[in-house]
Amino acid sequence: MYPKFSQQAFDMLTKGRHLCAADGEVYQDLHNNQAQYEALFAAIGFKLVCDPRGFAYFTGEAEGSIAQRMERAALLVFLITDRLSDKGIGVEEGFFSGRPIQIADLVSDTEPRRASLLRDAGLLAADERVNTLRYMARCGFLVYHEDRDAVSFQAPVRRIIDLALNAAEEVRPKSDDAITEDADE
Amino acid sequence: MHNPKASFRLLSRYYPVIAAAAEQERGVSLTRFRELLDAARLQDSRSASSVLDTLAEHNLIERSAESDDEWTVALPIRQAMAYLSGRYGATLPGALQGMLASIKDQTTRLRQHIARDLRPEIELSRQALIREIDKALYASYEHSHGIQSAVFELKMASRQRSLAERHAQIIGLHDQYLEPIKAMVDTGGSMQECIKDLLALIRQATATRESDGLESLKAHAQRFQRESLAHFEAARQALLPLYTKVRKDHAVSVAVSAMLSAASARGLSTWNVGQHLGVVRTRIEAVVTDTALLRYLVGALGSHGDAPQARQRTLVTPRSARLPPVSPPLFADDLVDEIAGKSDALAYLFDTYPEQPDEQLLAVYADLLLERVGNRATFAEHTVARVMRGYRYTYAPMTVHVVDGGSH
Repeated sequence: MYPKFSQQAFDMLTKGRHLCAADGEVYQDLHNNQAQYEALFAAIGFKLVCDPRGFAYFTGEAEGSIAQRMERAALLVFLITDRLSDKGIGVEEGFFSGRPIQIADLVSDTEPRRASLLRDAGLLAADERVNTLRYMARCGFLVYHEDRDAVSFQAPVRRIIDLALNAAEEVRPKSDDAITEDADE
Repeated sequence: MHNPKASFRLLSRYYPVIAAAAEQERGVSLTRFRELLDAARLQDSRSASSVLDTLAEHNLIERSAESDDEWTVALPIRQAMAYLSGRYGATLPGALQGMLASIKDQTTRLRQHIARDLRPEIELSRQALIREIDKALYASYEHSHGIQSAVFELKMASRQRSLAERHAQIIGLHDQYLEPIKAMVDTGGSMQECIKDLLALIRQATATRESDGLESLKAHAQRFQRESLAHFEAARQALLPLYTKVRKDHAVSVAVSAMLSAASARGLSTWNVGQHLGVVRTRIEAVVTDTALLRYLVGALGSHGDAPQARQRTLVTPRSARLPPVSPPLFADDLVDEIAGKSDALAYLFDTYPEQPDEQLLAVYADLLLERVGNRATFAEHTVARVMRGYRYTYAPMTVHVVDGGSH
């Protein structure tokens, strides 16, 4: 006996999708028969990660255009998080309360730092932002309500938040660097 | 149980009298209550005794712990009145600490008076201790209520402050107001030790002599011990979820801010997304290959739960399965010339090598497809479905073309 939705799950996961409760019975079956799915996919060289926070994905190292897309996705998530923080709203409440988030003002390019980051990521044009949001929707990070320009984040977006929590120490300038940077200015 | 509306109506009607009674250091006698009632000029024809009975029925006042002839305003009512008159905020724990020190001093004095059997001094100490304990109980309530009010206010006004500001406020509330009280009410804390000491003294004194009113002091001490702990618990339960949440939110906020700063200074590549956020997104041909392999594995593992009779292997061409390595004796290299020109290489293999296991033949076939024949292979436009050795194979037949001078 092999898992009932192995083919469907495999097809979705290999396309970079993160499965979660929103994927209905495919995720439900994977969640309930985790070990079987892991063994089956491991036999063909894929590492299935089942996160206890309610999602699953194939892990691997993102390269080339995938890495660039994920950078853009992370930038949008971070800009939204940063703006919500300014309003006193934390990630749990802002992302996972079930209310769609209007994104226009959250990723606006009116502040120099935000504009600069969006430009560097190639996201200054609204079309590019829309493309990135569609990509994120395909990956299962969010549901994009295009008609309302709003998003509803899904559990897998926690991976991107984890990126900030895990990498923040690495990217934070050491005190010596900070002095050097100041001196350079 | 009385209808709360009726109780509130009663409280409202007799508020001036109840408030005046609440201000008294001790309970009020019937005579004193009558005076208060008269002073309030409520134009009430009912007797003082009848009003007292009604207020007691609604738990607005209760008999004093010290005397059956005296009445005190019930503690929750006094607390509510104090709150409504805006007297309370979160007092610093230092105030409570000072009251505990005072209780400790009074306990020492009481011990000395008992040892010398100085009855009037014992009574004075007893009354002073009751006052101090009641004051400390008020302070404990006041403190707890202050924290709860601050939490409520923070929840209501959360949209007006940034996460950093909320974090600072909540951490301050926790560290400066809740933690010091925790240290007092925990086992071994100053509050517990102070009351434990007093109760031990009362127990010792009442075992060998008349009570001298020490039983009522004991009741006050026990109540303080019980209720101060409940006050702390109420404050803790109000604050802790907010404290836990804001710490998590703040950690994310700080981390995100650091990430954005780093990206501003050194570009997005500094995040090293490829390493931290790996996502498998296979190329189209790899998906085809891996899907074929998954199907093969599925077939090899057994039949599907919903369709036990189906045993199927589907080979997707032109990029067919990367099948598991199988040991010799059959090598693709040796078979290229032999297979060249055959209209269906897979069927040929199965027909020609019946003694070879399925996996061996599939591995040779995959090897031929991927490594050996390159652009010399063509595939039929339509797939065929053939049953070979109990499995139904769906595939596009492959033909390897002969070249001049052999297939190499």
